[in-house]
Amino acid sequence: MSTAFDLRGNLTLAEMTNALIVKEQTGFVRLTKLAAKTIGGQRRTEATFVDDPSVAPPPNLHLVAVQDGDNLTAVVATQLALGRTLLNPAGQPFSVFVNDQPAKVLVFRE
Amino acid sequence: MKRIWLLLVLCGGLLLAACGSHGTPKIPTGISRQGIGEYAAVTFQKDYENYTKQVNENNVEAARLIRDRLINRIELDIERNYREYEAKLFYNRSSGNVAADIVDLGMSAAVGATAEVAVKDMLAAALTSFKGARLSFDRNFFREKTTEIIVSKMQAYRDRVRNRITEKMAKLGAREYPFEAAWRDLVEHFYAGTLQGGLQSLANDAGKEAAAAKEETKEIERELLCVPSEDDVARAREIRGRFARLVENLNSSNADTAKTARQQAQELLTKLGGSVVLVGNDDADGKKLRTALEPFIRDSFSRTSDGKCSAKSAAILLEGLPKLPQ
Repeated sequence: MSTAFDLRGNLTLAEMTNALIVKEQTGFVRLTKLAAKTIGGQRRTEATFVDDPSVAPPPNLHLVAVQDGDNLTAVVATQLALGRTLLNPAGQPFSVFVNDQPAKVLVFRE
Repeated sequence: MKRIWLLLVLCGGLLLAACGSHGTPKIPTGISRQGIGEYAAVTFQKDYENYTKQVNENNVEAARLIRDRLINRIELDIERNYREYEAKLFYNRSSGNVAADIVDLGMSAAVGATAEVAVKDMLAAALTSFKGARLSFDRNFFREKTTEIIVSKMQAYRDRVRNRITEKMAKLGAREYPFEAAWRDLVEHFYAGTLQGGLQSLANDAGKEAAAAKEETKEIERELLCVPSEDDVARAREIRGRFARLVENLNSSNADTAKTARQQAQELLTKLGGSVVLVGNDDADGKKLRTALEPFIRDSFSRTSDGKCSAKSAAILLEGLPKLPQ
């Protein structure tokens, strides 16, 4: 089953990463998607999780901000070389809000 | 008294006569009932028989042409009748309202002008009952909506059905969209242009708007994740790791390890205000422990008013769960 939670749009990338890690570790869920949204005039990032049937703790998340024009293949290759796996479907970055500004991120699992 | 009534009736009559010229312009012969507009039953019957014949003989192209003609002719009748109905709806309701206003005002004036108490009371009672009947009529027939709103909803509903029919006619042949299927859509097209259709559409839209508003409220009220400190992150990892260790110990083939794990689990749950009965059955115990302990682990961090994480029961959990090997 999937559930969604929101993150305030004004978080830094590190704060966002930490919030997602704590949710995964204590909520028995795993992140599947991030999406930027504006609701009632507030900028938020919606995080969708699925239930984690495993008892073992999920490996940490690692969020990498990318800019338009970045070589995504190279960014992904660097992270994969570190033994991380990519969460983004088809390698397309998620749209999020970082410091209240629209941003794009790739999510990796260690 | 008689003079007052006579004057009121005269004024009302004059007003209604003045409104009479606000109906519709003269209808052209081509679309009037007396002209070639109306699709006579006998002509329809003939066309339908011809259509059926073409379908039976597998002449799909010919059948499609006749199907389209049948649909277009019926649509023409629906359209013309609807326009007449729409005009009447506006006119009759406005006329009714004007007449009712005249009676209302006249009776109010008569109540004021009459000196005799019994007559005054009778008129006042009649006026109250008239106002109530008028309100009831408006509420039950028009749901207290203006004619413009109802008509715009009728029109929108009609357009939706009409577009559906046109799209099917353009895309589908006589086999995929037979006339009988179009007939059903035409019936819906007709009823979309009735007072009931308009009110139903209005209610549906109001329902959808309410559902959308509810959804937005749900979105706004969706739980916000708390912002943890680096210590909180470390503690969360530790809790989950130790929990996994407890389940592992519970399932251990070493009886002493399993027994200690059962005791630890039961003591921890007692401290947290929960309970679990573990009987030494590996799989069942593991599931029961997870079911019992998971809610406390989920709640171990809560969100403070400034958005930060507060480690609610993290300390109790860390104290009660087995340490991880260094």
